[in-house]
Amino acid sequence: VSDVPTPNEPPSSEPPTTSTSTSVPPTSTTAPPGTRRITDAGIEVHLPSGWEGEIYRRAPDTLEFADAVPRSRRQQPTTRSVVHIANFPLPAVRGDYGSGAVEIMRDEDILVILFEFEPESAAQPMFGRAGLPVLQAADFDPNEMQRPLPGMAGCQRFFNVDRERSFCLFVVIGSYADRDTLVRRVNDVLGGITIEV
Amino acid sequence: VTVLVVVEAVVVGLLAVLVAGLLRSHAEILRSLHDLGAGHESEEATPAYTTTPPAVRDGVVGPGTGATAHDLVGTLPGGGQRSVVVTGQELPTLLAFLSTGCSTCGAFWAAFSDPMALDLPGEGTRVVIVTRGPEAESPADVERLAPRAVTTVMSTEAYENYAIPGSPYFVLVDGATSSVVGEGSGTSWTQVQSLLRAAAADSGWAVKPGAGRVARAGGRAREARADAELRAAGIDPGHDSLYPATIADVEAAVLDADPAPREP
Repeated sequence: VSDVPTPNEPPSSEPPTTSTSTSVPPTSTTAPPGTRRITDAGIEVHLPSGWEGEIYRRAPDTLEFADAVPRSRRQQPTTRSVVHIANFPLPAVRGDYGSGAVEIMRDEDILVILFEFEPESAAQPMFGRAGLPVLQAADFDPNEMQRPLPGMAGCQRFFNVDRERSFCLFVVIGSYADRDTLVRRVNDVLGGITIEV
Repeated sequence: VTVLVVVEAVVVGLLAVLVAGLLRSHAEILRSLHDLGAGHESEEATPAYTTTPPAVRDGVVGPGTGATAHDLVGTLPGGGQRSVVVTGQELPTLLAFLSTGCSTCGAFWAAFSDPMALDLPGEGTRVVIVTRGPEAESPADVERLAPRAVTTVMSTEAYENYAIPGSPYFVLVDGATSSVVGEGSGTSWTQVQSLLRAAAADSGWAVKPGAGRVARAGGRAREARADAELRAAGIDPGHDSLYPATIADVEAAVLDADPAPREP
């Protein structure tokens, strides 16, 4: 994970707060005309025309443990897949949760991020939702941004895929006022994502 | 003795024919290599090339004639995939087709380490480095050379879509019209910059003013603003208040900065 702070995560004991969203289990999709496809690590994204995307995995740092640290705790960090999808040019340098990209967003812009957690998390209550959610305009809140920016709003949801993979979905829209319009485009993009176990 | 002389003469004759054939074959190989442009990548080997002005490649649809641009999908050197949209965009994109193997490309890999210093044609122009795919280039080598601040994708499909003749090669795409406005090669960034500017001017390409994206907050703009405010307050790099030794130092600095400290 980069130096970007993790979004505000609810306590692990807290159930998901997406009562207004419906869960959509991953299904195979056929690429509509004009779309492009990127795929890696069991994640497939069909990008609508004009949308950019990237699936990557950041090389983890190697930790050096002090002699006093028990062997059982000497576990090196691992990183898993991160997906960034945007309808604007994604800058080369970005944090895993979109810092560097969020700041240049305009009103009509959308940034969709999938951040994968370790498989063990899939059984945790925080990731209890099954499959990618469908978002509602009411799910977006200016205070769900990592750092509130004027006019913008964010939405963060956690979910699992077949209880074997766990993800955070973090979406930023450039205009909170236009959330009704923008959320439809968000759901169109989410519908083009397939995650395999 | 006579037999030996005759045999020796025959052998010498055969060798002469063989040598002549080899020389002729060598000459044909050199001619073919020259026709293919071999040797143009090495500045040291062919110093005269550096004085050759860059030019748009012959046989390619020239700048300004609306050669169609293509979006890219490629592999990331560190693993994963990336798509880059260059068509239907407000901003122009400079596609830099580079290789890890060509000596001339080395200067460009280095030049792109600081894209802000490139003085790119257009406003808000984005640079994307493209290499051939993993089947033709070592991802580890590409990752080692790829500048952190520039998107780098490995895509043989992009080489084919843009009919790239070799590396280094540069294509300037106008996102608004989804067309190529300039393309060509050179041995230095200065040459390429000059080529692209000329090609863009010849094509009548006009950059939309104010097209560049400005950060609402954060990034370099935010850092610059914070620096300016700190300097205005008399806090320069190395100022004592930036290196408090104790919590009392922090509290003292806060009290100094607060024009109306609260009463205890």
